[in-house]
Amino acid sequence: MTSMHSDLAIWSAAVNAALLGTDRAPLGAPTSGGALGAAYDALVRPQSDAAANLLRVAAAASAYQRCGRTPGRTQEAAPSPCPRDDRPTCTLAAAALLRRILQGEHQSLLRTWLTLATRNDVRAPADALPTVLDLARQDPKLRPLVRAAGGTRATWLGALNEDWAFAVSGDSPDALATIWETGAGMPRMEALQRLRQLDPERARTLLEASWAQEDATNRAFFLAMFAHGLSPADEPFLERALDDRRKEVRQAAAALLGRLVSSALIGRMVDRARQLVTLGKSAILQRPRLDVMPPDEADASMVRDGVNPKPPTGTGVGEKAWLLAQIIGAVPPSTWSATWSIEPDKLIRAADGHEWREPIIAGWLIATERFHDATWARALWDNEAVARIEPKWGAPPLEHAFTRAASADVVDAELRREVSARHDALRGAHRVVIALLGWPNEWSDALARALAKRLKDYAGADRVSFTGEFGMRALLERCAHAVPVSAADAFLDGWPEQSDVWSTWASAVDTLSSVLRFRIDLHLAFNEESPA
Amino acid sequence: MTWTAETVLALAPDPASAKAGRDLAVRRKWTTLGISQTAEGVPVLWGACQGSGKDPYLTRADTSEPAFKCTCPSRKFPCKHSLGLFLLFVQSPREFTTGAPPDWVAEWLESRSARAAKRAEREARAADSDGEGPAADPAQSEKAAKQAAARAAERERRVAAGIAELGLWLRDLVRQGLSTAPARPASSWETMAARLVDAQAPGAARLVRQMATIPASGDGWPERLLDRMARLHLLLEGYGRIDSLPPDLAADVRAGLGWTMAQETLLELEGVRDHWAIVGRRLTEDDRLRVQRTWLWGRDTRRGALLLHFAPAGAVRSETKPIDPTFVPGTAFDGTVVFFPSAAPLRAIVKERTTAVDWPTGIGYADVSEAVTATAGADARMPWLEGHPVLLREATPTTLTPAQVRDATGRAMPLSTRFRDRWRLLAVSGGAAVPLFGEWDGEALTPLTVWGESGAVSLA
Repeated sequence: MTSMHSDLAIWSAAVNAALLGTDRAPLGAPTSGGALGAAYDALVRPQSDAAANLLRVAAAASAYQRCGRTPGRTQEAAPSPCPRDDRPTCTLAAAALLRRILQGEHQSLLRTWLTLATRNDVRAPADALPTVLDLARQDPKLRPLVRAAGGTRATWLGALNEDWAFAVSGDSPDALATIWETGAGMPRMEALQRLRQLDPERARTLLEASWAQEDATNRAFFLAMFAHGLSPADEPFLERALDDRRKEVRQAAAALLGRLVSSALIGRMVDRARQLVTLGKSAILQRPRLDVMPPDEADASMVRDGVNPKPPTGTGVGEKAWLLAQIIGAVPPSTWSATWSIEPDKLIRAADGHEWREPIIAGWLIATERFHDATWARALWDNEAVARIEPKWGAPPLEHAFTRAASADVVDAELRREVSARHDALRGAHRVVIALLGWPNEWSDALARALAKRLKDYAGADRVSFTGEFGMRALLERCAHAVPVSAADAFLDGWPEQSDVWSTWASAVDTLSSVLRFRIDLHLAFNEESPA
Repeated sequence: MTWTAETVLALAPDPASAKAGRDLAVRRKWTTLGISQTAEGVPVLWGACQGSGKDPYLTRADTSEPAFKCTCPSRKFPCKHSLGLFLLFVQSPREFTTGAPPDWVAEWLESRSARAAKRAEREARAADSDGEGPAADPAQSEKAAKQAAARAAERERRVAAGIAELGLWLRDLVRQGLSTAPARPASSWETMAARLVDAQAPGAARLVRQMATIPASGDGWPERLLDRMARLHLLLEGYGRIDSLPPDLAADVRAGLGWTMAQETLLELEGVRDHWAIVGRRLTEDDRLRVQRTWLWGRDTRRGALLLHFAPAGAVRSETKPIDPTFVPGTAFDGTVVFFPSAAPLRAIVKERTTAVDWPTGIGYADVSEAVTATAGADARMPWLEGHPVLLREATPTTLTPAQVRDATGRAMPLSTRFRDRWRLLAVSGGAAVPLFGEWDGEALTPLTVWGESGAVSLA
């Protein structure tokens, strides 16, 4: 035993004796001595009791060890360093704002921060990346932005932490294909989804190759990813999937083919629709007249093409009307106006008072949203009295069909016109409110300013409801994110704070101002054009 | 000091208050905004802020300390109105109208200066009784000195009695065996600690309280507990023959048991002038106290210094000064610090901060061996040290578990298992060698600051 070992033995002997108690196990003298052993006699004094002697020896032994310990050499190789990222880091101000977002202040603006960073080609600060990656792990929609703003450092971290693997699989189709072929579970699904966005052909080829072996429940999930990058090249594969054993897969395939304008499925639906609806002329007024022959029941070929044969129970919707709405809904609306050489406007008015008005309009609303037909969207919007139907028909509300299908400029201009012209435009469930809440775009400067003016009118005098789906609180929350920074000033000042009803407005307007000021700070921090 | 939005917000008691304060730093929230100057030229601010109630809240701020007062019912300090007012001043001073303070501000300022005068008087009296000031009445000051000496002797007596009892208690534990420790009720430790507080030995009480958690702290607890007990016992024995110890070590024993040194006494000691880099900051809180540990590193003296700032836990008392927000890691100042007397001086106070200076480059230990040689030397001189400042110029965080940092020679320091911010440390390093500061307890390093390409990053 070397002297150093015997010194260490003094410490373990002291620990053992202390555990058992010196009444039972007094500390024995060391067998041989190193430096500590040599001091032993001075520490153990006959006039002290055994416990005091033990504590004294322990104090010396512990200090002796503490002072003598040398950290060893690690067996672990130095990590491979992160590749350089040549883009500059964001400004200090931008980094400070990101930290505030990550601490929970206006967390909804993380997306904005990442978008601004990506647009200005700067990097997120490295110390913020772990939190950002954790958030992107929970919210896959953030991932492309995190990959862009996180740069090589995010990729490097993704290789070390499997929770953040999405940061690695990043932008290499080959890497994604490997995960698809060798991986399992969620990472494998995500790899296919990402590959579909990068290289739709390759994603389809991979899925076709393994289709027969895929779990039946997963097939529908896989197909759902194909809405992105849908092209005629997908058609043969999807057409085969219409005969899958599982209903969910058949429905998913039919839904995809139903969006592919050139597909045979849509051709079949057009043929069906033409047998159901023809154009005539009213004898007296010489106005266009819709002649409708609804189908009696759904045959097997219709069901194969995705037609849902039975109306939802309890709605009072008849089976014939239900089928009629679905078949019209599957046909690009431009088909009608082109075939009959007639403007959508006149066709919609021809449905006014029609025996089958609701299913016809339901079909047109469905089709307008599905095929993004801007002309029809405008025509339906302009004929609200005819085009408004109950939700039971399964069609999108008029406002959604309009905002999703019409061009952004038209939506923006229309909403602005109505906000300026009609005092009640922002009241309760008015169509302008529903449209504003459901439209994901940022508003134009002019629309935002028109809204600010109208809102201030209300805050000066009106009692409005703040709660509920279309309440004022929901609208002000939407303003916080949809108002462009250039128009933020219109919402920050000039509120009628002396008004009788101001107390009901104050807190919601404060919240709005807080978000807007933060967004202004964000733009300034990225040196984007400063607001007026 | 010059206040900025960041330093003002650092005064906020929590993030929610910071956010609320920011939202109130807007002109239209305030119906009145005024400013005047004290006799010393310090700006004094006031404002009226319309809240949800009928009457506006009246908020005032003295920017020197800073000190705040607000009529709002918030229990937080400073409240959001105080923060908003101060922040608005920092951002847009021109929004404030110069003028004589209204009554509600003037009264507050008067009460503050009256209190300050009383404090100054008290301090002057204390100085007189030490025989340092011009004594108005020699007989009276002699009497005061006698009283002070009697108080000091009384404390010595009580401490001696308290630690005699503690010694007995420690030895009883060892006699009966530490294996009984996990089964002891928490109250048995707390009772002993409370008696030590009564005996005016709060330092020893703190050590006993820390011991209470060890039996439940997992593998190796007997070693850790015995180590603590042995060191505490050593402290008691040191007190028993304190007159024969070298003065520095005697000071360590007295500090360990809980004697404090008056700031004035310390300031008379010789200071150490250097460029001091603020290398780390850690805030801890127990149910009694918030403690801010700020670590400095001298450019030329090549040593660490520890500043401690205390505040009551969950401070809600109006006009309580927040823990010092002016020591920002990653900044440096030219100034003088005074170390508390010790065989291995570490704790210090700042005597003077002359100017802010550029960050001194190349400070810290070259590698792990140099760091450990220095810390072991300190441990050898002073057996009750609980942690050492370690600033490594080039540390590479490793990626496998257990977490470590290594130097170029491959020597590694394990990171503390309590360290939660490993991924941030790795993110900042990017796999490269980076400057790193942490507290080293002889076995594990708790990183507090890492320097990346954008400067210092505080870790938790």
